[in-house]
Amino acid sequence: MSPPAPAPDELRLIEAARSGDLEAFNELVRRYQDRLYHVAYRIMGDHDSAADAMQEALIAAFRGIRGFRGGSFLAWLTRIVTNACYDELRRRRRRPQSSLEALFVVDQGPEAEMLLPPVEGPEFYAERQELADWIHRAIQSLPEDQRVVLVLSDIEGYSYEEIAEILRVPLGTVKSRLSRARARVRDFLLAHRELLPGTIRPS
Amino acid sequence: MPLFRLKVDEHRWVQDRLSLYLDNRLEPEERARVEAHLRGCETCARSWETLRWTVQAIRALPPVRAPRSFAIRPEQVASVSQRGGWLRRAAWAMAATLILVLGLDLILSRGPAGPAPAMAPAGAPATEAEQQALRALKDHTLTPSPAPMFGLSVPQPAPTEAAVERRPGAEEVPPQAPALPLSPLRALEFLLLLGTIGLLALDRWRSGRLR
Repeated sequence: MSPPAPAPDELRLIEAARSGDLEAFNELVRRYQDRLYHVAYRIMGDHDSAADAMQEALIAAFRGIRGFRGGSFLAWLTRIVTNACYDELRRRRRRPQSSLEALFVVDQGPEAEMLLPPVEGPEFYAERQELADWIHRAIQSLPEDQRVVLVLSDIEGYSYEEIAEILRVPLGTVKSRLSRARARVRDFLLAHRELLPGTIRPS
Repeated sequence: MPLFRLKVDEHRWVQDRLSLYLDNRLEPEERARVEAHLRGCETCARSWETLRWTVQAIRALPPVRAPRSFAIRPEQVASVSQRGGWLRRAAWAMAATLILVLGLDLILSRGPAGPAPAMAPAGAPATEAEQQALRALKDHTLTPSPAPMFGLSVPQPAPTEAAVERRPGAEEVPPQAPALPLSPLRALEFLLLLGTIGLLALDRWRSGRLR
């Protein structure tokens, strides 16, 4: 779950990208785009906004690659994607009709073809999918700051310290936002307990 | 009821630490205190179980794949690098305008005798109308009178004619201009300076988010 150690050729690709080699940068993009997209999707809540934020973030990342000062390249990209998501959410707030639309258009969660193939039987897969949709809704109900920390921690597996570094916030802020976010998701799921699939609802 | 209050605070204290307890980020003595409380308190124990279940369920969310390739095309970078530098370019454009306005201000502040040779293009003779206007303006400025202030109530032929004939360059030196505490030009210079600084700061902030 934690960010992978830099591959031996990653530094070479980063160096090439820094000197303007777009193909080298795109090789890095191909390596990380699934994980970055997952972050964007869980923060934004729908595929169109996630794709917009990704696109904007990656172009900004290529333009600003000289700002990368070593460390985990994935963490650096995650920071830029997260910032792009914040920008997109801010823009959405400035367009009230869009957020009104969002109230009525409930995203049905990830489409089946975008999911990794199920390993279990079809019934269990369907239940797991239903639960995943509820958790997705619960995450979308969180305030932005809490949502971002929850996604980075419990979906992407970053440590508290890494999240503090990515978001440039104090460690204590990460802890308290995560604590509140988890409690809120739990309360949301408990409030809809009777709608959750039977075999996997909280006892 | 201090005992009751203490009890409530203990629930709160434990609830606030369940997330850290889950991640094993509590000091040993805090962990012991949480565990001791969970053994004796059914409400908090249930709270802990549901929280643990929730986090497990979040962590088990199926990964979502990128629906398409996000590799960047060369033309996207080209168009964006043009768009991306617009803040800095706007700042430079504003700074250039500021220098022009400062130059204009300097020329105009040399006094009423200055404008004609300074404003006219080299070698271009002043038109009869311009010379007439300048003469009228000079006569007018050399004999200060409250006339322009009360121009509506007491119409005076000479200044009115001068005002009609005046060319854009000459308009910058009305007789009462030096008396104003802040001339429009000064205000413009101030605004341009503020704008330049603001745009540069915004540009720096934007590029800072990429580090």
